[in-house]
Amino acid sequence: MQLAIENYTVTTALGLGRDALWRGLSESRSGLSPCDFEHADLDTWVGAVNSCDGDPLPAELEHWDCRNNRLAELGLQQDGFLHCVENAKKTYGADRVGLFLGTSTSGITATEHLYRQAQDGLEPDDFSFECNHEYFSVAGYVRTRLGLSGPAMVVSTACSSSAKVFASAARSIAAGFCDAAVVGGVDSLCLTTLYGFNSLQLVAAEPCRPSDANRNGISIGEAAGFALVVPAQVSNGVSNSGGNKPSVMGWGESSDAHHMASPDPAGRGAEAAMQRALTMAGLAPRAIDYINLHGTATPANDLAEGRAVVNVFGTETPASSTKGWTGHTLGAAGIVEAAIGWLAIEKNWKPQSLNTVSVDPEIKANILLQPSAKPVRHVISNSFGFGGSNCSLVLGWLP
Amino acid sequence: MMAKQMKAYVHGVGLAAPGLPDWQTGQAVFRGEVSYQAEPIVANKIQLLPRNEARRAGLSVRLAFQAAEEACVGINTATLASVFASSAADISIAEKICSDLADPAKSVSPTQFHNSVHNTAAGYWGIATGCREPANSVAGGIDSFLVGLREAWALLLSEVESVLLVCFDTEGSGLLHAVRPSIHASCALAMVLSRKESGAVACLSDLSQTDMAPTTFDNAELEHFRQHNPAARGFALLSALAAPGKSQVVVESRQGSLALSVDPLA
Repeated sequence: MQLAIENYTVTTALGLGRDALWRGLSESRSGLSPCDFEHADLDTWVGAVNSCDGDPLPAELEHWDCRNNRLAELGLQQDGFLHCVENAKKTYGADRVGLFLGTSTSGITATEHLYRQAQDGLEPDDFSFECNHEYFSVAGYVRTRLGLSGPAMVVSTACSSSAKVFASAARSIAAGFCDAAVVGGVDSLCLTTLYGFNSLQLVAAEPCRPSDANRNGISIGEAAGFALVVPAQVSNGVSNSGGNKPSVMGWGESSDAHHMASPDPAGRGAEAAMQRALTMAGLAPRAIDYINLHGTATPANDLAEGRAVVNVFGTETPASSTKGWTGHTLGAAGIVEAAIGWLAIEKNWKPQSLNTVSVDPEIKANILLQPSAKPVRHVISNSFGFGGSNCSLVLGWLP
Repeated sequence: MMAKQMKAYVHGVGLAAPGLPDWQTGQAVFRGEVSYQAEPIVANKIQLLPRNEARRAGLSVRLAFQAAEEACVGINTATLASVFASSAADISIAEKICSDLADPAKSVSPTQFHNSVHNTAAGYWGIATGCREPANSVAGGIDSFLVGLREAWALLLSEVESVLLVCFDTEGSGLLHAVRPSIHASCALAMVLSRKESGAVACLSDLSQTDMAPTTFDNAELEHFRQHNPAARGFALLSALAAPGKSQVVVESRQGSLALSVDPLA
């Protein structure tokens, strides 16, 4: 099933909403900054959304308060998304709009805080397991905030989570469980991922340099992104601004069956994900104009992904990772990079691999070191995660 | 458009819970042939994983594997898609990591970190079976069983012929357990569902949203378990699978309960 994107929004370290993302991309301006996250003492750079420290949640929803749900709220307020959801509720009924959100750590900052309080001999204050810690917390919050009563789920497959939500939403619609869906991903900075990736020696001390010969790890970022999707055949194909609507033309999911924390060096799972997405979209590899790589900037990921890309597309198709702009937003990476794919199509513009100086000679894919302003009709976006979870999305216009 | 109709055939069932250590015992208990005795569950050693990985796996992975391995006896797992559903995945690892992070040294174990992701069980299952098919890992709070069942159902309808559904939730310990008093015990259950009839033990059909009262247990202990562990919400369906004849089950959910017909095949 092809999905029409009725509206989408993303909030990243480059700012609030998709215009801020586009400005950052087109100005080659990274959103990364030295890590000053509370209680973190690590020599690394992060892609922080500073304003999510600020505004609390609406008063009647304050029991959901945690950094992740604040970031979700901030994201929901951009690009007229709330209004768009209200319209969808009127059209389809609140009980026929599904909710499919990706996250890897949900509200674990609240749990980290709880343990610090306990360490200091304090009684836990207003902690709620259901509203803060649980994976479903972000969906519980967004469902309540949007007044949706259709099927709701969290997909949590580490860094592929918010790519896979498109697949889950599409098959739920195909099964008749709902008629439209809010999909997205929200992951926020926390000590668990900062110190966890650091323990695996996967965190770079400098801004990440995807595909670079001297790359040495990730820069962790945070983001919230949402899209309202309906089946392409029921969409009128014209966006609010009168332009064409973007779409998800196909997806491919696969498993590495190799290792929990490192990719199959041969990239077989990644290759299967890309092939399946192309097959579903009905496109030959040469129809893809730009590949948005998972491109975490770890030595192992970029090498394995490069192999898989060359096996599917050869060495010509322009490719880049955009994690030098946003950092690796983990469970939100899928939706952030889908948004970058739609922007690339809308603007006929391919982003370069920001911060990359010289491409690793072992990586034979066509890594863009400069932006390219050439027509972009179809994009493939890769999202791969721990546990060997792979998802590729083929993005395009509605016909 | 309402839910599309489909027959999903059950090809295997697995169970790992206190007093319900395997599906054979589960069938006898659910049929009322033996009384329910909540003896602690001891998770088996994982046979399918290399020794190092098996040693590192936490209770949630071991229980999920125990149920999944039982459900998959005689089934080719190398080409089987899967859905793993859990509200909290490996809660004991989250407890350990948050506790370590509260310490000034903030020393996190790298193995525990990569095993802290929700899809750890799905990832290890792929490694154990060599399966590169899609695997999803989903959460729905107390409704995680229903969320997993719906995802598996939708996969069967449009994308795959067979799917393994595994639901698990563990009790955890320490502070995270103290702030989650509603959880009861640790539990995993699994089912292989397929559109293929040959070799099936039961047929599921007529899946629909319902306002009917959920299917409950007369036995107070089992009913408490069903209400207080997300995976145990699936006991109602397992009980109907154990029954001699056709019945209708209502799986409870705050998202709207689901009714389905369960027809055990002779």
